[in-house]
Amino acid sequence: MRAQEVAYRFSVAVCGKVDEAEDVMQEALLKTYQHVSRIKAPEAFRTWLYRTVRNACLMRHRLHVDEPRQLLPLDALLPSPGDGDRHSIAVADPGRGPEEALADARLRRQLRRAFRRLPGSFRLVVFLREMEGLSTREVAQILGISEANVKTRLHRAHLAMRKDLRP
Amino acid sequence: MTSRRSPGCRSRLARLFDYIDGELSPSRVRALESHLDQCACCAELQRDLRRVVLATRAAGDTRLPAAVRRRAQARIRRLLNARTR
Repeated sequence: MRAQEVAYRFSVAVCGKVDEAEDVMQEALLKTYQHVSRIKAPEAFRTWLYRTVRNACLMRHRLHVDEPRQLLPLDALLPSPGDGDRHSIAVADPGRGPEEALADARLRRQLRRAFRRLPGSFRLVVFLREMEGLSTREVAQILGISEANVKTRLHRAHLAMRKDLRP
Repeated sequence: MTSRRSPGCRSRLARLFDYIDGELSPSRVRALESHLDQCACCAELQRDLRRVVLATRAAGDTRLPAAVRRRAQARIRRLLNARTR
């Protein structure tokens, strides 16, 4: 179920710990199932789900989600060598040779390193905007910041990551 | 082609992000691409940023572990059943 995938990924992102993320995901999904009929517009569902996950984590920890070191080890969400088919960074192509596979593995390492170096507030925006594919407006609504702020954080994050991701 | 960043390059930075996101008008795309043809510094930055965006977007395809899915479904069923009794 797509909602489960979304809730799990974001729970890990916000909570920081995988075991706590499971509890938060379950609480958020339960609320979602109970209130889904009240959500009129389909496009509002995704934003609503992220906010519910975020609130569930806030209730659990009573901490601010933007505190990066405690709450946002987002590299835990990124693919790492040996993860098998749980994660995939490149489009699966059976015809890919060893050189391409090595390049993919190198890119994964680079990406994990780049993520670790980002400030937490930047990582969360990159996660929502790029990895989850949300719009700037949706990210702004979820995080309670302006769209301009989302763009600024995203652009600064990209600039910070570029050196780590050079071929 | 020049390899030095001019003051105008910095002012083009926001436009470069819009270009990568495909949010520029055709006329601005033409103007920016003309600049990229002449400015090695901005062309390199554009390649780097595009690589960052593509890599992070590709990393978003994370699957939910099957065991986590099963546990979540079982617990939600239990909680829903308990509340409807």
